[in-house]
Amino acid sequence: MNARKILLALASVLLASTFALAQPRDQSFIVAQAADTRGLSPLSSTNQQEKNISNQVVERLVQWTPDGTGFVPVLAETWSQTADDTLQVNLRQGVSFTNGEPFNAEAAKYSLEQMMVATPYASFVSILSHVDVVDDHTINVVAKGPASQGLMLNALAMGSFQYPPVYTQEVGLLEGFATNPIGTGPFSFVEWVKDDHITLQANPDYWGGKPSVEYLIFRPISESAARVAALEAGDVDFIIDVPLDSFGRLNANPNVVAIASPGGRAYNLTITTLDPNSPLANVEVRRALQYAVDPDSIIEFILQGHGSRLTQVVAPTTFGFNPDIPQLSYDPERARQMLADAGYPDGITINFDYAISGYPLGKEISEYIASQLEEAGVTVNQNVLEYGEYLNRLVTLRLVDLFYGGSLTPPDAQFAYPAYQCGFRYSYYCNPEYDAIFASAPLLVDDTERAAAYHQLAQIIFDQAVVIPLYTMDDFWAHRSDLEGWVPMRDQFLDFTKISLR
Amino acid sequence: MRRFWKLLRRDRLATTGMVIIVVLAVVTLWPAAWLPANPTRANPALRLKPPVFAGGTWENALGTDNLGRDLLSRTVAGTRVSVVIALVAVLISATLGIGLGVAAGYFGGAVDSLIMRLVDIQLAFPLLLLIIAVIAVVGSSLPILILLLGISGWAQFARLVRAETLRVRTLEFVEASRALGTSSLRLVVKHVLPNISTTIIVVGTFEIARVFLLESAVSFLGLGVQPPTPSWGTMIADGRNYVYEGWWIATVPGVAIVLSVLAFNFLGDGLRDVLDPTSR
Repeated sequence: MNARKILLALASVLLASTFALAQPRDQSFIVAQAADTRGLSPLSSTNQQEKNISNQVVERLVQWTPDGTGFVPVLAETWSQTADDTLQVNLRQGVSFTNGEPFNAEAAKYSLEQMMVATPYASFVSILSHVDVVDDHTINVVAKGPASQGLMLNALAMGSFQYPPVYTQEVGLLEGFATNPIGTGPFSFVEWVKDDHITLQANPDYWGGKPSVEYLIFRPISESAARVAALEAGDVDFIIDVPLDSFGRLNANPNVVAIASPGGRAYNLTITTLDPNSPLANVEVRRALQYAVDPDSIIEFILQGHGSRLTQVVAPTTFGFNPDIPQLSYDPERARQMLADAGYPDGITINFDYAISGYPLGKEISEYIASQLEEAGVTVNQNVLEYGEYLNRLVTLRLVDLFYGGSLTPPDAQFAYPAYQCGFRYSYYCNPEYDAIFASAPLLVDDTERAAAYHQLAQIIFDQAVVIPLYTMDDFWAHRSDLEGWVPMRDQFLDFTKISLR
Repeated sequence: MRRFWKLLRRDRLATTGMVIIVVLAVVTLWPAAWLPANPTRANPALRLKPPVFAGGTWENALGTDNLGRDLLSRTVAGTRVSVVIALVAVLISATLGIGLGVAAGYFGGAVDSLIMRLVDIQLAFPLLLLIIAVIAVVGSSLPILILLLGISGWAQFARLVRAETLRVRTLEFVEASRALGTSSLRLVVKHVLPNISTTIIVVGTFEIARVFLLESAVSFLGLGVQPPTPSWGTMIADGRNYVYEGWWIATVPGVAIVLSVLAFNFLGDGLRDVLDPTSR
């Protein structure tokens, strides 16, 4: 072998080790998301892109129907409300975790107790008190007071991930488990190469039947254009957050399909009100900002129709939506006049914080919003933040004046309204009257009364002009055209148990 | 002087460079009010319109970007930002570099060793990393960006100025002047600087080209010029997600960068050839 051949051989080995994954391509289904996860413990984050990976391995008791309005059993089989404060759940029998531990009432009790102390889930499970084991396959989930069944089921659908107790206690839920998760799910964990890929393998003993793809691989590709290119080249099979402008091109390609499905994430501009010295402490100034932003033109031109206007922080399909809140019309002249009347004839100068990635088209939309505000005499200092830094500032209350964001909460107003309580970890508003109503709402068992409480909260938020509600946006996906059996979910969860490739 | 222009004009590339630089100067001084459109005003109804030579209209001669902003206006406004940043930054690095370079060359000894080690350190340090690190800590603003870009170039100046100073210092008329008791400062100002000015001009020209590129790179990474202020680098960053649907968004500012960097390099080459008799 001469030197050249040796070099060639070396080069090909290097190339192979760089590009090829250990699993054969034809047995792998590769999903590209915008970012790598920070951990594989489902309870460490409520970020759906992160949970999309761990939730292939770790399953919940119940999950939402694809449209988000109902519940389907997963590791629970049936449930019923046996008392004002008690939901009795019958668990699926004959299921084990992939390490051999049985899934039973003790495991469920342990897992739900983990959920109740997980900080990111605090606002979702605050109504729950404790769990009682009834028999080997039945548990009672007990609330702190009388609670509606819908509220309790939403809490379970949000965070009732089931962990093998022995293994989890041994390695630590947020430590060892976060790098090597074990569950009952359709896939089991194989390897995680940070910022490169996470490989999962089909669970042959899955209670719902072994998935048809052998390996499910998640790859982070941060640039949306690069994700599209990877799908077109056949390097990946499924991408999320597809840029709208590439829909035409993708759908002209017979090998791929791009889909927009109705999304549940509610986007708004939050006006920070905590600084008494800011012009934004004046409700008239905040109201002026509401008139200075035009959500309709964002929906029409940037979302190209793939969005629905919101009048409040929850969508009309959400329980507790207040139909009496009016929709303000875009009127920059009126906004300018209101600012003048409030004592700012030359307009005001505000900060505007937004993330460069993390929300689809977030940067474009934010720049457009800034441009609209300028029309109304508001001078805008734009702070473009990296997504991690944005989240970091959000929860440490360091976003200033105005910020763009979207939150995807269960379709019950109870889960959207904690964000406006005094002292909540990312609340930029404080009003004791609001807090009193919010605290009483979950204890109202009668749904009409409970809805009325949320209507009051929506009215306060509107009267005080603490947010500029924008829209819910469709979710944008694309996948190879021979994929069958995948259904987009409102909660953006990726369910690959029933997929097949023709 | 006339001979100088004659020689420079004979150099076609240098002439091309000068023409482009004149255009840049005009564009930089172009009043904002005369722009065809407000460069920061978004109008998504007009988004992704192609330039006139690719089927667009004269309304937006170079097309529009992903928010419907007029690319011609943005490129012109971006020119002002880039040119001002480059000029001020090079002024800073030239001042620093000349001062330290002359000191090193003129005084020699320990001063020389110290300054040259500083130069070595600066040249060995990955520049982009330094800029990213500083901006990550103190945040991005125009003055900080200019200062960082300015600091990034002083070592080049210092090295060449030192070498030239060493040469000039030993010339007979300098020796004579010193023998007559002229002060160091006066010697440097009266004799050294005028004799090394050609070097400074040539290095300065190349440095401007380098800072253009560096500023674009930093802005492309989102660490430089912040929106809504347009800069060529941020415009390319905005356009990179639209290379299929709107190739012109990144191409227009890209061409602007290429042309202006080439212009300064051509001019620098031409100046060096003309000013340095040995390479003629």
